[in-house]
Amino acid sequence: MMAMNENRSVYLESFIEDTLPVEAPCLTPGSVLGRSEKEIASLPVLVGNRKQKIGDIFRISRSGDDFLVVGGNLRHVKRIGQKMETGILLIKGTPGMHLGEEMSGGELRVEGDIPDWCLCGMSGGLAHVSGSAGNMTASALPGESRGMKGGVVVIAGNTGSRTGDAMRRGLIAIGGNAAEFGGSRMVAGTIIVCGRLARRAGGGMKRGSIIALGGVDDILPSFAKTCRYRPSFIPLYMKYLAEQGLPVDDSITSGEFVRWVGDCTSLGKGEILEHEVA
Amino acid sequence: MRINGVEIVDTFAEAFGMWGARFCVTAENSRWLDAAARSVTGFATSVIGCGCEAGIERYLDTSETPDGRPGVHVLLFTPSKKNMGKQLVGRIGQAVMTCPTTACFDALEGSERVPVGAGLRYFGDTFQVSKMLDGKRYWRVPVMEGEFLVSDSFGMQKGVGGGNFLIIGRDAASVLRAAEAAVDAIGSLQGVILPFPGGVVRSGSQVGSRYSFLPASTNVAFCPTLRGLVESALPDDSNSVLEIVIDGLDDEGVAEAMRTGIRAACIEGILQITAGNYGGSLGDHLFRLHEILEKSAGDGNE
Repeated sequence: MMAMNENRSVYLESFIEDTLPVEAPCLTPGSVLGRSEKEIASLPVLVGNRKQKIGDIFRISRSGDDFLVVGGNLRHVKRIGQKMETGILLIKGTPGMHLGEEMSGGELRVEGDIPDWCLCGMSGGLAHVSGSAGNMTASALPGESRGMKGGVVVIAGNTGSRTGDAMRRGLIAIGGNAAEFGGSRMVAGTIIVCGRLARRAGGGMKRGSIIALGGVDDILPSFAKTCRYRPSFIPLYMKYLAEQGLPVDDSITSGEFVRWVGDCTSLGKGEILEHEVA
Repeated sequence: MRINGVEIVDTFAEAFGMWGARFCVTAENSRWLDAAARSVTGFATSVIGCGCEAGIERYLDTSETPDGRPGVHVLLFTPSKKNMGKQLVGRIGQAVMTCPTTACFDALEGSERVPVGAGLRYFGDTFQVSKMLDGKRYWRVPVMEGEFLVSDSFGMQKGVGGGNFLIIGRDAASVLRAAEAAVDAIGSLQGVILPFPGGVVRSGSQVGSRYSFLPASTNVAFCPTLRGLVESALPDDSNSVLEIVIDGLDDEGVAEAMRTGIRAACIEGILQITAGNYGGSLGDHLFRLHEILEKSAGDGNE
């Protein structure tokens, strides 16, 4: 993770006050950094059904081009960081839906919560959220058979239902609890839940790993218990999570896990590793 | 040149280009770590007879290993890139995967990669699982004990094999003591291994033989029992010789190991330190003893 010096950034502060949805896919480091304030101000956005410019709804201050900071009232500003490929984007506050959708690279950091349908179709890069996430985080877009295809998502708080739906590759690490249907229809990849994993996790999963460190509410009957053991790869992930600032203690690396395999209604080669909570 | 009264012959060690890999073996405790480390580096003293040269580079603290368990770094050298994969897959498959509680990780960054876990995974009979973390791929291979974890590919780089020096002394006990001191001193260095048993060779070889079917034979010029029968290279009063052979990931590491080892070996009872070479025509890495030792501003130079 890169250190950020806000003295060398482009800062965009939203001053929009109404609740009209704003679509601002242009707010990526690749589109903004390296441009003059005038050029940035002329980038197109959609406010409701009207075409407007960034300068109409954001105050722009530019002190460098190291990274992009977006702040202010962002609740209705959707698609920030969409298809982001490179650079660093820092969100101060809670953005609108579709944040980081189909991002393929770079680093996206959110100081706040994220709503439903964020980080869908992600294929690379790192997304770090200091708060909680809504439903369908890092899931497949409607109509798509594949969800997250790569990269790392770190949510310090809780996540809503169907997090990582149809995930194909990558890592989702959740510091808190994961709501129902976490990792549903997973094809591969890894989801780690430091808190509790809610019921119906892994429904329809083919392959992939869901690692529950804080217990599981319920396991679907289409999963079979195989054994209790100490997976040798867990310490690697724990080390990585600790580097990402998530709560990991030594009892996890030295403790045992119950391995459930399923979902037998699908290919059945997925797994839920349930840490035996003392 | 003399160090502590020991003559340093103005000659050079002739070494060869090799390919080197470094990997980390971890285990639950030192018992199984030692078992795996000894097994994976066994019968790997010389490329001529063993196909590769390998040794334990150093033991690692739990904070230095990928999985936070006791570990060891192993260096393995082969003459060709092609042979590296075969040796790694064979040795890790037979000596690490089979050993309880172990895991095996790549420990050498490099653009030259050789598939290891990517080959061993087939042992999992389609039930193996791939994990990608921080840009590195690992394979979880199901085994009777639980799972064996291994890196997908291992890095390799050009290295040096066959750096050496010979310790010539008045009696076998003194020479053995000097060799042990050299091995202990070199043991603190990184990037090098001493592939022979205990780090020491007693049967140094010469190229060729009086037997036409042998490519190499005992180094007659340095055999005390043959003095008078052949043209001997041994000084008067010498009665025993031991050789230290060094493989390293680069020239600087081998030179440092030679410097450290030679200085440690210059003790009471040692008459001369020299080095093995083939006239400089075969090897592409020449380590001149005087040049190496002049770089160290050590005490005891005369």
